[in-house]
Amino acid sequence: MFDGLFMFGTAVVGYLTPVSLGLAFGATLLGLLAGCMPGLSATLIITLLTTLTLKMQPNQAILVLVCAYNGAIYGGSRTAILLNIPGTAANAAACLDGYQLARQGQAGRAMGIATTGSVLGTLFGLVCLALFTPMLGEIALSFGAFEFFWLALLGVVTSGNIVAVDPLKGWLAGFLGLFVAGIGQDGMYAYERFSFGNADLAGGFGLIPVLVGAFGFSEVLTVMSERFARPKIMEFGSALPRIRDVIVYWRTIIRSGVIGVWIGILPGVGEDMAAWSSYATAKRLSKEPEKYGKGSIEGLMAAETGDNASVPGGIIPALALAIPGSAPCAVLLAAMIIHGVQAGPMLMVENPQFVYDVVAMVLFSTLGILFFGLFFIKPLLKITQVPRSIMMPIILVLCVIGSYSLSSRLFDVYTMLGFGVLIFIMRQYGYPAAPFVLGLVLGDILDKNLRRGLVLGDGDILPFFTRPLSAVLALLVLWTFVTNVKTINDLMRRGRDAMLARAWPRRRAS
Amino acid sequence: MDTTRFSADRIGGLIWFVFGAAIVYGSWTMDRLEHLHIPPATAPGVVPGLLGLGIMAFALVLMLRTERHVTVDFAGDHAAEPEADDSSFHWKRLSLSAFLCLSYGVLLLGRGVHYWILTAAFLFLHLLLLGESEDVPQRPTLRRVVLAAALALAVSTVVTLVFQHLFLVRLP
Repeated sequence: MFDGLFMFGTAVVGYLTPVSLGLAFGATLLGLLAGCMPGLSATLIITLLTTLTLKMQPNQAILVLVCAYNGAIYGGSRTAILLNIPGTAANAAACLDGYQLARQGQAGRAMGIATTGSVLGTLFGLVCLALFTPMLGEIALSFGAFEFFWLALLGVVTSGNIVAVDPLKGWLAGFLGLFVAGIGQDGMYAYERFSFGNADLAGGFGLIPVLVGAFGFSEVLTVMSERFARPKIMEFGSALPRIRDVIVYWRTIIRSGVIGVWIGILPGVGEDMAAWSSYATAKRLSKEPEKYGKGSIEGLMAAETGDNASVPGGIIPALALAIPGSAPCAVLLAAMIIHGVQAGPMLMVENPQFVYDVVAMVLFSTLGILFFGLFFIKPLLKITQVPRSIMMPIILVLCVIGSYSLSSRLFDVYTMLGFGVLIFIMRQYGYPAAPFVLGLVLGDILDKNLRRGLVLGDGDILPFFTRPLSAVLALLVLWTFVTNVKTINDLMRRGRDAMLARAWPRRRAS
Repeated sequence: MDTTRFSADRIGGLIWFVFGAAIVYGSWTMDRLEHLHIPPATAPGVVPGLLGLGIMAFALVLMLRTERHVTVDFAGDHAAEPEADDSSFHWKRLSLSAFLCLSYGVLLLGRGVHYWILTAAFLFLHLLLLGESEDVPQRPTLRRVVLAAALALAVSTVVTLVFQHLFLVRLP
C-alpha cells in the first residue's frame, strides 16, 4: 500500500518537468481536438501518434498516448452536445440528453456536466487502476499457458459478441485477426507460415501498419464516402460545472464509474459500451426516467462518467494480463511492446514503477481535460468548422509516412493500405474492426499458449478443461458462442421443447 | 427483413467458408517438422488450422441461418441500425479518393519521384477535387486552387522536414 503510494508520488514528481508537462497538456489538447472532429476516432489519433512518438523516450511516448486517448474520449462530448454528432463512438450516448439540453439553451451547462462527469469518471478509474492492477497482476502470476489461451480466446469472443451488431460477424473478424497475427515466422520453431516464400511476409505483418490501416486509411475512406456539411454551432453560456450537480447525482457518478471501469476491464469492449451501459442503468434506477432523452442532467452525467471511467479501466487488463480492454488500449499495448515495456503478470515483478507511472499519466491527462474543458471552449470548437474533406488527405499522408518510418520499408505502406481497404469493405458489411485488432494483438498469446499447453500436457487437451480456472474460462467461451448463435439457440429450444413434451405430454397438451 | 443484406451475408459466408477451407488446407499440408522430433500437437499448422475450422464453422452458420440477427442497443430506446443510409453513400467521392490515395501510396511512392513533390501533388489534387462537400467535383475557382496549393505545399514541407530532420527517417 505505502509502496504503491511512494511509487505514485515518485511518478508524479518525475513528470513535473516542463517537457513532460508540455507533452501531457499538448497531447491532451491534441486528443481533445481529434475527439471534437467527427470522423477522427480515439484509436486513429493514438495509432497516428504511436508512429510519431517512436523516437521518444518510452515513458514520454506512453505519456503522450495516454493523454491523447483520454482527451479524445472527452473531446467527443463537445460535438455530441452542440451538433448532435458524437465526436467519437464513446459519446453517442451523450447526444441523447446533451443535445436536448443545448436545444433548451443550456449548452454551457451540458458541457459543464460533461466536463465534471469525465473528470470524476477518470479519477474514479484512476483509483481503480492503481488498486486493481497490482492485485490482478498478482492473481495472474498463478495463471499458466492453459488460462492464458482461454483468456486470449475469451477476449476476442467477448469483443466480437459485444461490439458487433451481429456477433457472428464480430467473431469472424476476430478470428481473421488471430490468423493474420500468425502469418510469418512462428514463435516456437521460427517456421514460416503462409509466407509463400516472400521475404517480407516471412517477417509477418507489422502490428502498427495494420492498425494504422484499420483505423486510419479505412476511416479516411469511410469519411470520404459520407455526405457531410459544415456544421453550425449554436450559442452557449457558461460551462463552469456546478457543485450542486455533483452533490445531487453522486450516486449516479459512483455507479457509472463502477460500470465504466468494469466494462473497461472486459477485453475489447470499449468506451462506447461503457457509456451506453451506464446510461441504461442510470435510467433504470432513476427517480425521473421520463426526463431521459429530453435533456436529463443525470443521463448526460452517467454517459460521460461511464465512458471516461472505462479509459483507465481498459488499461488495467492491458498492464496486468497484456490483454487490452478496448481497441485504443490494443494500440497502447502495441506501443508499449514497441517501446520495450513488457506488459503482463511479470510487469508488477520486474517493473512495478511503470504501473504507477501510467496512473500519474492518467492524472495529468485529467488535469488537462479540466483545464481545457473550462477555459478553452470556443477555440476548441473552431476545429469542428474545418471540413473533414480537408483533414482526410493530410491524415492519409501521416498514415503513409508513419507506417514507412517504422522500418523504412515500402512493404509496411502496402500493408497499411491493403488492410485499410479490407477493413473498410468489412465495415460496410457489418464486420467491426475492434475484434480484428484484438485478434491481431492477442494472436501471438493464443498461439504460443495453446502450443505450450499441449507440450505441457504431452499432447493431451484435457488440462485445458480440467484445471479449475481453465474450466471456468472454457465454459464462458462456450456459453458466449452457444447463446449468441441463433441457429444453435433454435436447435437448443427445439430440443428442450421436445424433451419437455416427452416428459409432460398431458400438461403441454392442456 | 433486408433481403439485399441477407443475400450479401450468404455471399460473404461463402467467401469466408472458402477462405477458412484454404487456411485448413494450407495448415494440413504445412511441414510438421517431424525431423526435429517435436510433439505433433505443437506443429506450426495446428493453430492456423483450428482457426480455419472456426472460420468455416461461423461461415456455415452465416450462410445457413434463416433470418438476420438484430440486437437491441443498450439504451433500450431504439433498435440498432446496422445499415447505413444508402443515399448518404458517395461512390464517386469514394472512388476518386481511393484512386488518389492508392496511386500515391502504391504506384508512385518510392518510384523515383521526390517525396516532397509527390506528397504536395497528392495533397493538391485531393484538396482541389474533393476539398468541398459536394457530391461531384465542381469546377475549381482560382481561390480554391490557390488555397489548395498553399495548404499542400505547407503540409508537405512540414511533414518532410519533421520526418527527415527530426525523426531522421530516410524518406522514400
